[in-house]
Amino acid sequence: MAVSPLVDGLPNPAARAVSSPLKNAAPAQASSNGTPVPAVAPNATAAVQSAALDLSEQMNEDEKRKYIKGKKLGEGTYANVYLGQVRNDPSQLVAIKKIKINKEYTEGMSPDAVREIKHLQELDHPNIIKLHTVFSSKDQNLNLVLEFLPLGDLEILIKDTANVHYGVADTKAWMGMLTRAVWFCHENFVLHRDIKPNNLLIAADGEVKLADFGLARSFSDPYRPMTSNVITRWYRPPELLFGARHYSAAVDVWSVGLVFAELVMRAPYLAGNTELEQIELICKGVGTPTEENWPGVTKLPEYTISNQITPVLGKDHYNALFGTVGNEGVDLLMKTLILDPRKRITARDMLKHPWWHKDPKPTRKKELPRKSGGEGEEKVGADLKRRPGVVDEDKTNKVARKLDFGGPL
Amino acid sequence: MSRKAVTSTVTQPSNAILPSDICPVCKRVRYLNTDMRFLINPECYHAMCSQCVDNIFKSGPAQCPYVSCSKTLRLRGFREAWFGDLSVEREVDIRKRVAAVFNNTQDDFETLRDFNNYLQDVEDLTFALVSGTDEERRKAEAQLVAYEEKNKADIDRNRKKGREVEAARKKREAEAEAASKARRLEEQREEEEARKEEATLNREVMEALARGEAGTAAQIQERILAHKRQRIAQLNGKHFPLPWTAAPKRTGPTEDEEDRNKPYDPFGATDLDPTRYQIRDTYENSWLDPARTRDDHRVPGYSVQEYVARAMFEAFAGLGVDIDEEKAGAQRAVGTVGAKHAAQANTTSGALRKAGDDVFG
Repeated sequence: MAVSPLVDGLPNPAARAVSSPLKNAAPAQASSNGTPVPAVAPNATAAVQSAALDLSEQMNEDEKRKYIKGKKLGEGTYANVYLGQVRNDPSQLVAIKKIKINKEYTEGMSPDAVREIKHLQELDHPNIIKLHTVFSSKDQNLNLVLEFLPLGDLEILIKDTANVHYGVADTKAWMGMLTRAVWFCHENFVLHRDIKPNNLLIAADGEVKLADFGLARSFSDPYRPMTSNVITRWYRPPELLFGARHYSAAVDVWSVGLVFAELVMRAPYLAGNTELEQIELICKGVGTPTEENWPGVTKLPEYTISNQITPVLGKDHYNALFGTVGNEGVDLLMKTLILDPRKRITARDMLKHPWWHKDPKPTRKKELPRKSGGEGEEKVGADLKRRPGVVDEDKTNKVARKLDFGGPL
Repeated sequence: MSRKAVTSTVTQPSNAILPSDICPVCKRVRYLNTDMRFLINPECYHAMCSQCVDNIFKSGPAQCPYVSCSKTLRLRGFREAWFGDLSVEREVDIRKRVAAVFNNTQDDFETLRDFNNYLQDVEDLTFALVSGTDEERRKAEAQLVAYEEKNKADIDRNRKKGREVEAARKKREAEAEAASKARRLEEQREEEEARKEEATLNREVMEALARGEAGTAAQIQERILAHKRQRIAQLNGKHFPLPWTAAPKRTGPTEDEEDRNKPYDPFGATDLDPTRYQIRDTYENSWLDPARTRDDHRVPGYSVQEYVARAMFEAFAGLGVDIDEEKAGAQRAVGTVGAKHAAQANTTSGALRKAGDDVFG
């Protein structure tokens, strides 16, 4: 990914060093870092303060003024999410994600925020959440203005088995949108590294949008290691569980496969409580990675399997569990869950799979089942404020939430 | 067919044609008895009028009044003949009776040859019964009875099966009939509706003209039509093409249906293949070789090809940027190569574009 000049729009390091001049804006005060005051003020409201601001601060101010912050949708340890409106067009809603100052990163922005901004501003696709703009508010808080997606996420649809009913056509439509989003990321050399149902938000028109790029990164150069501590555990592929430092887009495909399985089963397919248990579940639910089905796997740094070796499960097993999606659907699922990442299907080849053209045809997005009521809004608030790469465990079992955040890179 | 017929042999009827005017027994004429009916008894197929039948057989079985015939007939056996030619009537009766006994279908035989042989045998027997000599007839009759005795269970089973098939066929026919009737009604209704629509349209044009609205008649018509066109299109205007609708009518599927019938494109009409260069399958580069072969890269699936694709993209990324064009279209395009370039050219949002202008300006 080329270096984007958009970063100019963020407060520059010099401006960050001092507290914002807006807080104690004395009319006669010179610009905080000595740059000359621009002669032309961009708009009337900003003109009052322009005397005290340098160019970058003023641009930031303009950007901030475009939006009105509304009620709080959710609060978390990592970020608060507010509903926002466009000042010139109040009917247009946005979600403003205000990143909290992080104690771990007092000297700069939290890497999650940097990753999110860096990649979202470059990706523009109907199935990826849109980042409208970024500005900083008082105390150097970073605000991300995101597309407002009011209908919740796929997780609430999957979990609400009592009220939400969907069929193969709906699953196919959702999978199509997810796969397109992942394909678009990969074509633009971005690994998402946190694909799971509650990062798949639903727009007002039913379109599924991939969100939360807090763990995303661009494809690594050769010989430059990446962290293996990414992707929420249930959706983490075996190569990451075995501590691989050089991996490819295939990691996201594994997650897509497990989301597919979850959509069909309406429960996570491989839900391990620890990494060891996760490996165990993969061995049982997919097959034990061995030298035969994955040459070289035993040389991976954290290769640990139990003595019980399960051969790679065949089509019968998947047919019994996922037979409703039809022969082609099961074939696609099996290809996404191939243990050896080099043999795993790519997102592009997924879209070329014959399943999409088999009956039933994917449901049109306006006819997709959706959850009614205000729950969606709440859920979006919760989704956006969450720290990336964490299973929402406080919901499933009452164990304290374990932060699972990968270090930089 | 009564079992009675089995015990006595059926003789050829002496006069083959059913009389129409004069009863051969009592010589009564139709001219004086307009409601005259002729009855026959399948014992001997001798026709006589219903009054004769009443007179002779009411008190019990009696001999056939025909001089040459010695059959004993009962009142119960008499019926009206279906065919004027009584020999045909008799043959049909016989065939009915044989078919009721030999009621196997092709499914009951293993080969087609077996079935054909069976049909041949049945036809031989039938022919003997219909037009054989007395001797042949007696023999065939005995054969028929013996077969019936022997295969009673099979015959019953086949008869039941036959009834079911017949019932299913009748049901199918009734359904098809009902459907075509519903279709006809629907067509009629649509036609009626279209006619009504046309009438109201005409009336409104005339009213508007009478009110003396501004503009020429043609302009008024045009105005009203603009309002109506939508509804006319819905009403399937093909029944009554309106002569003055200059604009092409929508007769095809509605927008919604078109959307529904559109083939699904898994790629969402997005093409991300590079347009300015091609990526080769392999690139000779000694720096990349270890990444292809080293276990810590190879085993977890690190893809040199992904790296190469990215390097190529970055090398060519700036080529598609035209600042003037970007200024003209401040909106971000959706999901195209152009969008990526636009993002890199810093046109993602209005205020930030100013910075971009400074940089490039």
